[in-house]
Amino acid sequence: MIESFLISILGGGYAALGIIYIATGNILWGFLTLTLSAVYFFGFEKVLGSGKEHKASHILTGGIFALIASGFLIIEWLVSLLSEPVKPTTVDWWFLGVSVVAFLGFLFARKKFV
Amino acid sequence: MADIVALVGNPNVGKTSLFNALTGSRQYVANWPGVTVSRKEGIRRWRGREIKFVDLPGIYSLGALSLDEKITREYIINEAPEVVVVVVDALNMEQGLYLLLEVLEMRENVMLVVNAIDEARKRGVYINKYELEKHFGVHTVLTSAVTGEGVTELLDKILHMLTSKQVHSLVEITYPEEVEDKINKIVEIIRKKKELHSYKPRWLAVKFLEGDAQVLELLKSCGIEDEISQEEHEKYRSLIASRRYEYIETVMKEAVSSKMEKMSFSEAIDHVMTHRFLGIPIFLSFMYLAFKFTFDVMAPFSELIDSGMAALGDWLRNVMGDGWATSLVVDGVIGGVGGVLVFVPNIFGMFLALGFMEEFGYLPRAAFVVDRLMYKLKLSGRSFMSLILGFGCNVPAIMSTRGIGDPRERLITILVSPFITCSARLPVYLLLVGALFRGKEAAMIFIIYLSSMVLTALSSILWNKILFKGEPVPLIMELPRYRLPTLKNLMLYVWDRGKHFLEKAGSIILIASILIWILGYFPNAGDINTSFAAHMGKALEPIFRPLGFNWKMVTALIFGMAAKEVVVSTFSMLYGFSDEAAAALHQAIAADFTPVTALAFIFFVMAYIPCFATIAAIASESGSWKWAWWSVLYSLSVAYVLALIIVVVGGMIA
Amino acid sequence: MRLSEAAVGTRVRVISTHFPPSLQNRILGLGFVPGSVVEVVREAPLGDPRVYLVRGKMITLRNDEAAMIEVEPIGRQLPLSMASIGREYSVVDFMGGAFFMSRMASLGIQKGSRIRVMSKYPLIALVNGRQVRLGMGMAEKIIVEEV
Repeated sequence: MIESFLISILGGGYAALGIIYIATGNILWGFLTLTLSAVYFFGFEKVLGSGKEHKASHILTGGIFALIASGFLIIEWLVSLLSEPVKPTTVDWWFLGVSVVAFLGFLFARKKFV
Repeated sequence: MADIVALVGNPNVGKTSLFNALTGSRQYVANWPGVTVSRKEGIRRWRGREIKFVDLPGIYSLGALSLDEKITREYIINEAPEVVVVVVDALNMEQGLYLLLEVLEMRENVMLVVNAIDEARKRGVYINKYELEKHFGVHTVLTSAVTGEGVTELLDKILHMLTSKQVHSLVEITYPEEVEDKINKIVEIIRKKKELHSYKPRWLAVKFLEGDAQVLELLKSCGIEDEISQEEHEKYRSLIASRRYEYIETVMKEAVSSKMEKMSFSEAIDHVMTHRFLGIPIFLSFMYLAFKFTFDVMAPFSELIDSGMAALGDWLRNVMGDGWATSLVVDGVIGGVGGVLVFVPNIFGMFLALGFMEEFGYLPRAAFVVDRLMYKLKLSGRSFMSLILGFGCNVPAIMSTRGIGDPRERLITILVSPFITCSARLPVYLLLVGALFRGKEAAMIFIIYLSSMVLTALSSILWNKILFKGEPVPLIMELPRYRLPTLKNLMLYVWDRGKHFLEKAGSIILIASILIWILGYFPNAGDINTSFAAHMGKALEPIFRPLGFNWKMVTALIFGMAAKEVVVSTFSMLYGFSDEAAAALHQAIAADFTPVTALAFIFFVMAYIPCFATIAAIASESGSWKWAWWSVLYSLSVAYVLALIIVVVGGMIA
Repeated sequence: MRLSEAAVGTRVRVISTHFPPSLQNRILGLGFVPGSVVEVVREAPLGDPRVYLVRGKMITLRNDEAAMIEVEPIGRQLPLSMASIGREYSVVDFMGGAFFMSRMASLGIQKGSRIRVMSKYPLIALVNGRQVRLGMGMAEKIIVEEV
């Protein structure tokens, strides 16, 4: 139950963010965010074939992916303080917010499945 | 003199981490003589004694045909280290133990280290080291390079082996009867030969049966002919290998007990990372992150260096006043070397990103995911990573080929990567496209990038045909477990590799910058229009007349050898506009070029001579200047032919 | 049978290897020796290369390379694509995703179904007394056991 709920929330969240990124012209980061969303949604891929563990592996991977990507955003902002600071947009903050949930999902799946 | 201890093991068993834990930062990297495979050495003082550790390349067997195997084997035979430590991974020991059996056949004084014991414990795998000691007859230590567990014990055991002169390792595995009979017969013959006394006769006999080329040759030189057919060699090889694994299996049953139940973390992650649909988008996302890290995140550091260099130049100009010496230091040395030093943050950033992916375990997966695409170009997925980096700068691209295992593939990747359009070429394209193809900029730039990729692909196929008769490079690669990179290992990784670039900037690039400065400054104290370079431009003009290039363009091309973006600033100087007056420069250029010559010029810039930094990188990474010169010659002729085709075809259409 | 022909998810045993001498040592060292059990773990996005689990290590091989390893199936489970004509099999497992599963359901094939292969090229099978035509790709994903 919790797995399916996490997958829907995170997959949906990243999908929405990805579309906004692309609409605002940040196409490559949008692509990345959509990929992240797909990582979650493919957790449903084998609906009949396999169960919780399969979903867990998608939640685990999504969590790592999200962690790397958001860590990267933060580093970029920090480093840019040296010259022209890059200002995070509202979408960026949302991205970080969703990624916190993704990381919590990762911790949950790790504790329960591996 | 320090005693030498060699570390041997499969790739990905944490051998390098263990080496780092053993030697700390007191290590240095050199190349093995004659090849560009890194050789790491480090010294550790332990209880008053100096021990020198040598990290040998990761291998799966001690054959003599692949480069890494050959290096390891020859090192063990010729340098005769006091102790050989075989490192195996606690979670899959079998292949490591196979290597141990091979080493044991070769020599005495061998030790076994079972690494990553902490991970094994966490997963419910218990290893009985006394069983391992009993069955292999070697001292065994359980270690974890990450937590530092067992390192002290290992050093003590090594010390013990160095001080007590007793010979260790007495276990010998028996092969099936038909093999043993043969071995005994050959051993008899070998014992009679004095010149072979430095080898273990049984090892020579086993290798002889396996049909090992080097041993066959050695024995032949002593008058022992190979009377066994090729098929029989193959049969013996299989029989011997099977027996070794059988032995390992029985030992494993007694020494290892495991209660692995839950799925492993690696399995879970791998299912998604190498997924048949998600694999490629994930790969592209990670590539994008690495790319962005190398160029965007590192940009502020580059700017700092850039403005620092500019400030230094201004300051020197104030202190030293005008004159040729000032110009030499400011324009030549600081301008030239500084222009290359600007890349240092990018290079370190690239190795940081690459190092993270490699230590994490993603890099081999990435190679696996895109392998099919590269197979057509006779390359493997691994070189794709290097080529992609070339879009930022060719130098880190070429330097990153160090991780490509197959020497043939590595050479080809090095030779073709200069054709990938690096970011320095973009200003040149933008200038010309902006001047002559107004309104079609995006499409033109896209076509140019596409052509550069096609050129790279075709060159790769061509070089492969010429050098290796079109044989594809094999993809036999292990996918290691995922693990969290440690900061220490990551830093050592980056520093090891980035250092080379700094050394290069201090030597070759310095000389080249001074040379270019001389051409531009003399004989008329800085007037570029009457400088040697301009004269060279005029002298070379006839060669380029079929392409429609005038002497100014040729001069710009000469300067562009230092770094391709210099073409733009040379144009500004030659046409007498400052960098800021872009619109005026556009007009002047539009008057001098036709669209066809502009296109020819763009393609010429795309393909001709890699910049000095790249040439230096090619020379050092391919191991010889021969390849660097070949690359120069090849790219010049490709550039000329391409431009000529454009002019001829363009002339017919226009 | 060659290792490259073994379906994803199945386990096979190595009979012999036929690599050029330059690769033979590495292959044997990796554990592809006669008698070793190899599991086909996964295939890359375009079907080539594939990952094999051999003696605890995940090893990638291109299909060209895997074709140099001669293997035999273990036990009685095998993909339907390798079933013999005329014998009766029972379905043990499926290797596909949701789309594949619903396709199977619509054909009336489920775990425990009895299947008899009528012809191989094209593959026509008799399921619950009904003739069904299957693609080779699909047949590879249906794991069966002889009854």
